[in-house]
Amino acid sequence: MMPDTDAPERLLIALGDYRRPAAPAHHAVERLGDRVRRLLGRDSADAVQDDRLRRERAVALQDSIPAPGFDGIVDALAASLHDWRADTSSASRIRVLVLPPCERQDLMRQVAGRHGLAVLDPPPRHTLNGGSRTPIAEPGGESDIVVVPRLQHWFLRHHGGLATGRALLHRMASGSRRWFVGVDAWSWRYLSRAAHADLLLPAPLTSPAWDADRLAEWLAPPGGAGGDAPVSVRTVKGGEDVFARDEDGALSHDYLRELAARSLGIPWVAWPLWQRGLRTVPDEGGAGPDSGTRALWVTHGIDPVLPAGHLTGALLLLQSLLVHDGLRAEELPVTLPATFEVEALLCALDRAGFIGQHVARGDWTVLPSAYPVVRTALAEAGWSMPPL
Amino acid sequence: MEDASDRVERVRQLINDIGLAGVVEIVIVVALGLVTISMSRRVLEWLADVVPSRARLYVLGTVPVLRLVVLIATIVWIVPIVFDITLGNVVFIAGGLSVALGFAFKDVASSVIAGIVVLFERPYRTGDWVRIGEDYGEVRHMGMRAIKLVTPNDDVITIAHDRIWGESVGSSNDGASTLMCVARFYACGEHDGAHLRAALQDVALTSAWLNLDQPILVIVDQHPWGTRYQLKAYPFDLRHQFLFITDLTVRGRTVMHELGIREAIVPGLPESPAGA
Repeated sequence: MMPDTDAPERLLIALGDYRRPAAPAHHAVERLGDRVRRLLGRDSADAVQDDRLRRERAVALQDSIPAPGFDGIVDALAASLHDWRADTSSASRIRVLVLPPCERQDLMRQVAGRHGLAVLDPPPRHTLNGGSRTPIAEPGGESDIVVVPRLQHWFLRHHGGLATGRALLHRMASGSRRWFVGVDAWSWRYLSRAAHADLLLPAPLTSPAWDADRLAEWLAPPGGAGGDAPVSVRTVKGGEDVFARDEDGALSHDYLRELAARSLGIPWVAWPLWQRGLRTVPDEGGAGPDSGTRALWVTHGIDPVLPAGHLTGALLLLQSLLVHDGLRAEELPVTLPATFEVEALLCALDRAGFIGQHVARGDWTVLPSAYPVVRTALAEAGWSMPPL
Repeated sequence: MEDASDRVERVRQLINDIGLAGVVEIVIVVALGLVTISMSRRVLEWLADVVPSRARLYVLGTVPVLRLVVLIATIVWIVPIVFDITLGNVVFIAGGLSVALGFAFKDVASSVIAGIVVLFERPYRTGDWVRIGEDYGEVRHMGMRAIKLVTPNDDVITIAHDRIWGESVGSSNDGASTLMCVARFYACGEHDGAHLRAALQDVALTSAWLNLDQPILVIVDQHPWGTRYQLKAYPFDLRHQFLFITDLTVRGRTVMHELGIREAIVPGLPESPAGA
């Protein structure tokens, strides 16, 4: 069932108004307990804990719960763009959309496609580090709005890699054309500091955080058609249906509230966390209490663990990947201090489940399922955090 | 006027008949106090390394406070066991104590009292990077009498608290989790100062160690031998200050090289104090 895209609460909000879903109180206590247990056992941990993760992945169920679509999100963005497009006042010549990190669905490009808008693609990243501006090939034609799907791909965090990104920002701010700009939250934070993006462009908007109810609507398994039995999803610990509601219409169990909190209100983070937590009873496929109902089981998966003894290097690398929304292995050393073994860290973080490599483009990105752990670790190490 | 026998009698009245049980109790209390102080210091120092960076200095700051509390509690427990606490006895003790402190232990007492003052005034705290006289380093341990300062060269220097009576104490972070780092560059000959200044600003902006919430400054001043550029910025954690300065210096020199700017080399220029 798709979310109601006409509801005002679905539409965009100011970036400063973004509020992450709160976790139930007992969930925070449990997480603290897990943390303390992990700290006390830290000395005996291997540098990369990957064996246990492989076992968990082998058990996780992939086929009974089809992947939910992101069309609803695209619908909401397209609807917002439609309203903005109709407003031709000069005050709203540029619209900036800050998206949560780890977005891989190319939402902005889908929106541009629906409206038939021209897209301005970034130059290859290796051309950005020359110290001089790479020419910006602005699309011509009749399109009244130009879409920049990923502003974060227009710079490289190197003293010679900011010129082109700055030039693009100045062109957008000073020209007469209309721009619809998508940018990752970490990159927006960095560009605001390094290129005065917050001064050149208007205050950005973002999508509201996804709470438990919205996740329930989005993740609920299909009711079943033809001879297929409906699927119920139950907690491993108590066997309660995670989608069940009480007489007031509120979710009876806290699992989805915990999932919303763990995923920081980001749907593409919630999806892999949900997948990672799914289990099946090996022998029978999970017979539920009701006849004709097939039961799946869900728990909270195990969080990946950063390499012991290499925490600072790992966090520097992960932070660089977040700021740039992905980098190739040969681009990473340019953005990091010279003292770190980038290749070794990439191997360790890949095995531990923190990063993945895009098959076609070859760039490394932080995996959505690992983002909450990475964000927490960066905050605890003293980094400045974006709102998302 | 008291004679010697009166004084002896007075001291006898002052001290309780302790007995074996009393001695055992004193030993146990002292041992417990020492163990508590030692264990709490180790636990808190371990905790400081695992809690979020912003909480680290607060946790370290509780170590000397806890030690003082345990010490006072131990003394308060033991004194009634040893001494018969009456007003006259307290006056008698205070008189004797003042003579002893005045001659033999005045420096120790001065340092201990200064240590208590430090807990309230906080010219330095555990985890702070401070300069006391010629010495600059991190306050790793605050004892009752002295602090242990670890310098950038990993030397441990013990400095008595009573130095605060007569010397100024400079703190680079004053309890904050970051501090200003300065990378210096020296240029000579004709060059575009504004361009170099902007380039050095970008060097700081593109450092992986940078704290984005703090300002970046490039201060330029002219000298007979050339132009000095001071790049001032903050790392996201003060423990990385030297790596941050190294990163700024290496990349800043690369930028100067790329711009074709000659570095000034002035033999005999006095070395900046460590960390300054």
